[in-house]
Amino acid sequence: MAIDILNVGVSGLLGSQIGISTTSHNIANVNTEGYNRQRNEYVSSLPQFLGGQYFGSGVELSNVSRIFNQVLTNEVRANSNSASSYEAYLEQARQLDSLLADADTGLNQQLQAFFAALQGVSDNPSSIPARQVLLSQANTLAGRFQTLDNTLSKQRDSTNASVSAIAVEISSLGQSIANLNIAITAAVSAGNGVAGQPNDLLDQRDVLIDKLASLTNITTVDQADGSISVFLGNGQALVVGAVYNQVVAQPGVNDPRNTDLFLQSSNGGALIDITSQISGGKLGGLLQFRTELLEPAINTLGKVAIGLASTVNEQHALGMDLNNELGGLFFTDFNDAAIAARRVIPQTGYTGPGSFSVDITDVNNLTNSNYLLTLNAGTYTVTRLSDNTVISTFAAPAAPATVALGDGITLNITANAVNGDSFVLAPTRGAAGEMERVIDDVKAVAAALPVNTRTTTSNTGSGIVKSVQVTDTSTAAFATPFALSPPLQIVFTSATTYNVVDASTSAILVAGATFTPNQDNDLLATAGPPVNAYGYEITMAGAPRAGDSFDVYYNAGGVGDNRNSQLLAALQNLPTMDGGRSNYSQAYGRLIAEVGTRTAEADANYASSAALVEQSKARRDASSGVNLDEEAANLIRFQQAYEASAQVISVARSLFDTLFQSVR
Amino acid sequence: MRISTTGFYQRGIDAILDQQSALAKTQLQLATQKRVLTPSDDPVAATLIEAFKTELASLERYKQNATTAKGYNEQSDSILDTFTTALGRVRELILLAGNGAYDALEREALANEAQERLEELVGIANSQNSEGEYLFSGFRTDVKPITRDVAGNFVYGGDNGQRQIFINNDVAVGVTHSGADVFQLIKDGNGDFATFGNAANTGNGAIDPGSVSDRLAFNAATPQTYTITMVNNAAGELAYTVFGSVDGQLIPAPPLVAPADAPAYVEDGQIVFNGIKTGINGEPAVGDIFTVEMAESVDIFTTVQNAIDAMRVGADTEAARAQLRMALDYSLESLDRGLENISRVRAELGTRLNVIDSELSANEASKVNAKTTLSSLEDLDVVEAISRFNLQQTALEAAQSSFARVQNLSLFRFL
Repeated sequence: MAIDILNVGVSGLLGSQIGISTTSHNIANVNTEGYNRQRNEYVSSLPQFLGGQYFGSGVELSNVSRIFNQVLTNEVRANSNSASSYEAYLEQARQLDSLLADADTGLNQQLQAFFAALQGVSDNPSSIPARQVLLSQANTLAGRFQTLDNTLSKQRDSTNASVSAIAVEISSLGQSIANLNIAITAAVSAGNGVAGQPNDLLDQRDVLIDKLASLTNITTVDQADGSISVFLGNGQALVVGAVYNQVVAQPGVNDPRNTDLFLQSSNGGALIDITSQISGGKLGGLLQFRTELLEPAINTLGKVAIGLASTVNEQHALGMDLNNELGGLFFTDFNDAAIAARRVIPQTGYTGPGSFSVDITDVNNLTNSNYLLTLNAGTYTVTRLSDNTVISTFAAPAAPATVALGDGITLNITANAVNGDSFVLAPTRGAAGEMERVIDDVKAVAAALPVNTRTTTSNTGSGIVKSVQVTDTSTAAFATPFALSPPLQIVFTSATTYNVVDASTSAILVAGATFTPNQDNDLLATAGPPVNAYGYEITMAGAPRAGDSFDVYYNAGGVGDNRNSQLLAALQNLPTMDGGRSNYSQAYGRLIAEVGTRTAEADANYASSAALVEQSKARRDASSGVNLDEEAANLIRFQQAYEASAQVISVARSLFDTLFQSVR
Repeated sequence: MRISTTGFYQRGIDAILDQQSALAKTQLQLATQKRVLTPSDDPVAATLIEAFKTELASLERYKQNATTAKGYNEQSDSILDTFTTALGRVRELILLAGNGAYDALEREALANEAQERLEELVGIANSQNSEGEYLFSGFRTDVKPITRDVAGNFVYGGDNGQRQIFINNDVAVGVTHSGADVFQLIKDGNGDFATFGNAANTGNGAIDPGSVSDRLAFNAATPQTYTITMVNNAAGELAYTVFGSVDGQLIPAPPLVAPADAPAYVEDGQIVFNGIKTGINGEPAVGDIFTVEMAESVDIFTTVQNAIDAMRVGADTEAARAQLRMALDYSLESLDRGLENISRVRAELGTRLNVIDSELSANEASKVNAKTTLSSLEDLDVVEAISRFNLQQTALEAAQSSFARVQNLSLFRFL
């Protein structure tokens, strides 16, 4: 009996010691990330059967368990997955948000300054200083486009760099999880199933899985041997037991400017593109930002640049400069062959034979989307990528050919592709970076119109020329420098009829056209061919009388003429973009609104998901976390139990002593 | 409920950080006095803010344009005022020259003054603005508008162009008048037709400038030159016939035969044909010829020069005096057309200035509106922001001090 008392005391002593040790372990790990508090589970030892009675024989440790709740842990992972997605998105979107609308970096201020300078030329077309101001404002405007494009490109580069870094991180997390799987499986099998779990290894693995979940969306499957398999996206294996695969970042197949993600199997094999499967987590947030905000922003900026350059160039070409020459290019020509060819992006490694370029034919219908051109069974299909709508299908024509695709773009086919080939068409991307002021000479600003009219002094009627419109200076009428070929004379044969006469030869070009007095008459359109194809129009009103005539001549020397600069300045408020719904600054304003809305949305989503993360973490910690006060109480409890057990040993010893003394 | 120690600390710190970032934002708002710092703060307002900023900038530009346009037009108006005064003096001189009491010497003196006035008028017409542009040469602002060629005729060097400036999105006002419009395209005579006496006339009959008596008939007739010839009719009376260069015989109206059926001449009687009404006074002689020509544009300087030339011709005979009278009548009529034309131009300038003035005040009003709206969209409600700032400050201090106190509570302190 007495020996048993000693054993019982010793078991109590050991049990309390272990209790103090576990409590100390909890206290020591109070700040360890992902640590789940541990608890000793005691059972009373098997009783001894003596004399028909069972006698208790002390305490023994059955298990050191960790307080772990899989449901709460899954909740934390799901919440931190979406929170870090919104956080990454928000962090990037904020940069755009403050960039686009800022007075110092945005576009609007500079657009206004440019058009104000045009008005300045309009106020005083022969003033060299006013023209100089216009050229420098045009330069600053082009520079602003470039800077914005440059900043956005840098942001894409940094997003790509982040994506690459995260790919490396995912791979190394996968490797670590696989290694822990090995250790855990070994530990579990060493215990042959009866011993406790390797709690601290499990904690470490859970921390790694937590981290992985905050990077991207994953699914985990618990295996019977204690290992955990981790899958990415739609079930692409990252870790299966002890085996792990690598995630590699490489230039995208369809667009080498973007870094995409591929899964590299550990046993070799082809790379699997998993970019489209990634959602959630920091990685998902970055990819979403790239496709949803950054790419459209770059394209919209390009669209505004192309819109501005094309419309200004078109109008400028209709004018006449201080040297009496027709207007030349003002900004970059966006249908330049080199630029047009850059808009077609073949897949990585593509070597031919397909060769294409894309021209902008109608800025009004231009979108900010990219397009996919594919050739299958001899038929090209063009799909708008923003909404996956097919905008054009056509059988492969004999090259070279030009095909209007709709959406304001035209495809030039230099050489046909091979069936199965596909290309990304990016009409607007990067255009802002190519925006430049081309015009260099202040005198080359075409503020005047090249056509002017003169009322013959011997006229007896009250007919007056109200306006001259120039619509096309590429016609034969403008082929000879400094002259109209032919110069015209409008000769009235009665109050209601007129002839259009070649003023240089007096040959009648059109006879007997009808004039309606006292209202606006478009003389050349009414007269019909050939004069209606001269590329300009004369609008006349009033009541001319028979014998009256009007000369139409090249406006050489018209240095004070501001008609074309007026038309140029008026472009600022014309709805030339987005299908006739926006002017330049409205088209840009849509981008600001879009970015602002998305940023505000991400901000709100981040705030709520961050709160959810906090709450779910609090719930998990409430059950699994270490509370120092609790541990202090446990310390006291086990200390007292230890003291009591020691007292039991002391009592047992004194029982022995009593026995020994009585028999001595 | 149990809570973990780390969670407990973390929550305390999170609360403090949240309060800090809210406070920092309010502080930034107060520092910039702006409610919307980036578009994401209020995307809808941000779009409107951009739109109103654009509008304000263009209003500012249009104000500048309107001020420029006002300057140009005021300058033109004051120049034309001077021009009118000088032209009025010329008119007086012509009237004086028509006074039969003046002899050739006195008319010569009048002619000399008129000549000087003419040079003054040309000088005024060749005015330049502060930029050195000629005001009245249309688009060819670097070309002197009024010059004389080798033959001494006035030549207009400009064109018919008229510069306009936008003073709001839709309204453009003219800022110049071409010299052609102001000085050159002025119909002579009474504006519809001009009457002349043949220089070889022997009688002292003078045709008066006449007027259009029937506008419909006048417009319906083909523009042509009419010749009134003094004849003897079948009754042996002094009579007249009227032939049109296109219409042929008009008076006596066919089938009556000229000159036999020609109506008798009555001094100051009306001669009416094709909507034209004129008359001849004095005593014309048989064979004398008067012409009625469709009005043509004659520039105002040529008109004045013609009057001066007429003044200088001696008027010793009755016939010569009739010639002088007709020449001066014609010049006066033409000059009055010129004065009318300049009045029209000045009226147009006045209208423009009115339009500009009302546009300037509309511009000012729009600017105030836009600024008010912009301010309500963009600017901070300072009172609200300051009270929010104080509240947040108090909350932050409370969070900090409670955190500091709570973290002192630990069972270990009592062991």
